[in-house]
Amino acid sequence: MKVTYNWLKEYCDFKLSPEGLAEVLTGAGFVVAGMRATPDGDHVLEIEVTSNRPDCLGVIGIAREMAALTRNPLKPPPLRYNAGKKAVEVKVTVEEPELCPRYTARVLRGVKIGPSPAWLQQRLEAVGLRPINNVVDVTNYVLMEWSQPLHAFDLDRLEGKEIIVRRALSGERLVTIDGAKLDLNPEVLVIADTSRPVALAGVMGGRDTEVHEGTCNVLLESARFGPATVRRMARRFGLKTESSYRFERGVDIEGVDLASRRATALILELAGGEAAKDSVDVRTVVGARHAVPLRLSRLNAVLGTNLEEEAVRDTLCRLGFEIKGGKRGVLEVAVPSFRGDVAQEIDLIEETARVHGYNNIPTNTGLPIHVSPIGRQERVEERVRGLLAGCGFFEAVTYSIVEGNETGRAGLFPGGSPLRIRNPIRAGEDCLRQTLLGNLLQAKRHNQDYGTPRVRLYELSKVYLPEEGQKLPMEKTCLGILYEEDLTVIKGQAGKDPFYALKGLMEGLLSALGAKGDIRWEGLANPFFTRERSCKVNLGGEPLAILGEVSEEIVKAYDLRDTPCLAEINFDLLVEKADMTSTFQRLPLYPPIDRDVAIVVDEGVTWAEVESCVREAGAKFLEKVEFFDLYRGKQVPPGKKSVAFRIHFRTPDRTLTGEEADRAQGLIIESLSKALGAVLR
Amino acid sequence: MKEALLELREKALEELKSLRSAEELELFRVKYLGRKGLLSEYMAQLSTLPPDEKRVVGKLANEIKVELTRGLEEACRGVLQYAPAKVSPVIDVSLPGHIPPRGRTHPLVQTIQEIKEIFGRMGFQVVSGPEVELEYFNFEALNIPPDHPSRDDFDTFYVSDDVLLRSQTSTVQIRVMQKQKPPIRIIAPGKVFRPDTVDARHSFMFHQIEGLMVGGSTAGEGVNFGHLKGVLSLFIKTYFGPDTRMRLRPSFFPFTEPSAEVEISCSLCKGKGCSVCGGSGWLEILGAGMVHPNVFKAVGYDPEQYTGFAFGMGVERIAMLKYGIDDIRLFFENDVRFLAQF
Ligand SMILES: [Zn+2]
Repeated sequence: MKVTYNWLKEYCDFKLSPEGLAEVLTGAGFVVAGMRATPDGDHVLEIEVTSNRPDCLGVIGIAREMAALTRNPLKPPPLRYNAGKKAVEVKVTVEEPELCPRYTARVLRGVKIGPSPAWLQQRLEAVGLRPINNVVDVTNYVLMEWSQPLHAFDLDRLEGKEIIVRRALSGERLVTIDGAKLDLNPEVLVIADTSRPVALAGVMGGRDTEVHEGTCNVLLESARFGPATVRRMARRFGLKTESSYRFERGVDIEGVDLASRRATALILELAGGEAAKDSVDVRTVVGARHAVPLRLSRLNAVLGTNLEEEAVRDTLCRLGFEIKGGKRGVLEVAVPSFRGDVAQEIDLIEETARVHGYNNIPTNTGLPIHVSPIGRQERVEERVRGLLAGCGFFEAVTYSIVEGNETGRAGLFPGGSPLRIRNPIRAGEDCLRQTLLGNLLQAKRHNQDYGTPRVRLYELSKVYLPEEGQKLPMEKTCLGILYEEDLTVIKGQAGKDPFYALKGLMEGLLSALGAKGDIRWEGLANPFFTRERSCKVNLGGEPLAILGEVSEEIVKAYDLRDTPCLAEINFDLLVEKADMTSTFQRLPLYPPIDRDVAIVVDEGVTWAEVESCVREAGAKFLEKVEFFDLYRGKQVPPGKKSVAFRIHFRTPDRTLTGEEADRAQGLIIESLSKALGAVLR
Repeated sequence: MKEALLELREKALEELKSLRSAEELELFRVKYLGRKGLLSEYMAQLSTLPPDEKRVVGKLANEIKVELTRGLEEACRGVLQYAPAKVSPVIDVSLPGHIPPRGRTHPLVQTIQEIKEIFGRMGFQVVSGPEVELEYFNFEALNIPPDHPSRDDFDTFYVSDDVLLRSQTSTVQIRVMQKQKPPIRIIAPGKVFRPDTVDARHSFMFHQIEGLMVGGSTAGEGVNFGHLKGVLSLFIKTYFGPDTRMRLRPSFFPFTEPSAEVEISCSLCKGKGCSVCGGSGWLEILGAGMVHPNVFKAVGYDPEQYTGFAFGMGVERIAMLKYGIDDIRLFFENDVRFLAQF
């Protein structure tokens, strides 16, 4: 909203420079976003008015604020004018009182249309309006002054000399002042004469009935239209006007008539003519002033201040409130009609605080002690982030809203139809993701295109899983990981297989979190991964993760030059199963005996089978068994493989003898040979 | 065979005494103890002997193997002890070392962590809430009337008529207060969504941190506007530096009253005015205010009994100010050249 310095000073004579004025207004919540000097020596201030203060969308409103802020009197312009003898002789019917709670009409006869005087033109131009003619300019001037939109009709062009506020009929059309041809329907509120719509209520007048050079008699409309109605119309027709802006935020029911009087007086002064002796006022809302009690004790308790009753009283009065006595310590405050935002005690407390100055309220750092525990989720997140950063992973943050085809592929959680946004900003990009994997591949692709051929990324974010019969989806926190070896490492090189590197990371995570429960690694069929090099992980019988090497199809789909490995982990489950408490275990006093064993088994035999066979062989003193090599090739027949591992034997109370270890080892080897057909190598 | 073995033993023990270098030791090992060494050869022939002799000879062969192995170990120790020090070339200390890989936490998450930590020290606990929300929590309970412009399709993503993507983290205030009685001190970081076209300053997804403190309005427990200023000034001085000044100006949010926009002095120009602060010397960093009585009523608190304050800040904005980042899109591209800078 724009106002000029001199215009404001007409109504409140504060002693401030334009810069000082800007500072005071900003400090009271009316941010002066810009200021410039005009050629005629005035200054234009661009003021941001919050949506709860439509009364300050005019010079009078701002002047009233300045009166309170600088403790100077408010001097509003005169509203009296000399009326003629003739009556208005116009009929007004409001068919939609809900949408138009008040409509006033004044009639001026014999006006002389011409250009406005220079001072008026300059002020309008300063606040961004184009001067048209004296009558139209007055309506705009009063709009900017009182924040009350007005419209002047050429009375002689209104058929039947009648105004009807009604819904438009289907098929009706209106050509607006700026030439737009609008097709109307019953959603639209119009001002009509007896034969047709002549204005879009609260938004813009029609061309047929506008005031023009030859206009002699004028009907001056001042009304209040419902905010929602006007907003809908303005948006539908793409017409955001000074008028619609103010109706959308709400105009003062009493100001409707005041502004009409002010405009009538100005038209008479600038365009001559004669005002009708009466006016039409169709009104369904009675603007009774309601009283709000304000307790001084409450005010000081909420603000942390020690304000005196007298100061509070003075502030509120200057803002236009009336104090009607009340008990000691309680002010009965009558709220003026232009302050529709004030309904409760807290609103009055805010008014007082605002004028007193937020920066004058004492800062209090004396808070009672309060301990905030760090949650389990936070602790797990912190440990996981630390671990991943230490392994060279960069954390990614990607968009939760993805394209439809991204969600066609399910990650850890089964896909199914995703949650869709009704009003996406880009067509097609309307789905809430159900997996993080697609986003990670996109981030990989971005890095590939911008000179980083191999990356390690992870994301810790939510996926959204619609649930049958539930309004809200299940939101699951997932940990997505994209793993690639350094450029210097070649795929398939012994011991550096990226699949096992990622699996190892997963195992490292589980161990770092002390995840409790039986962990099982099983085969996986998921289009993100190659069948042969992927798996799912179950923790305590629940699906915990999927991981593996990205399939050829996906590599193509994302146009990748390498084949990364991906993992998606149910982070909520990880948090649930984590146990980061530590318990001390006495260090062993006696040395272990280690035995390396290499066996040859069929290709189909898994390490898991070998390991559990070793454990279950019933060998005494077995402490642990560690895999260390897998070998195929010379000396191993085709269809077979050699598996090498180390067995540790130990007993806590003495040094084990070689013979004891031999016996235990023999038992294990026998068991392996029986159960898995293993042959010692 | 037994004699041959004993002869082999004599010869080997004699040879052991003359070993003087690692190479000689290795040759000895291969010759006698290796897979195809002399002892192995004899072992291989054992099967051709009658059982009685086989046992005796086998035992002897094993004993010799153990003796020679020990002898070799001893010789090894001797040789290495007296071996002349190896002369290695002086290393080039200017060559780069092997730097272990180091990833990073995302700058937005780092920002959230730092803010969380500061508020944590003032007793604020971290909580979270759903990102897909009921309209009730995003608007109605927050005292935002049904016809408020922020409710329409231009300002909020809708999934259905009453389900939306939360446009502010203030939703968490309501969810917490519905479950818990004061005193409350929480902060709620998280993602929020608004249908803004993406450019250098706007993103349809961004992060906010919401804070809430509620206390009884009686004796010493009351939380007032002065406390709001106190908590925020402690945060600002801790996060932005002890010389940072703070100022508040009135603003309007439906869920707080009195409401304030909080600004800090621009650290780049020290308040003189520059392009970052738009010449004003001040930067807006968060919105705050006293919790509106209607919000308390919505969660079943008696507004006469309890008072509190709430605040909310944009994580991207704070990170952009702190690091001098000029394009919000960088946060979501995840280019490691960007991520590695934090
Ligand atoms: Zn600056």
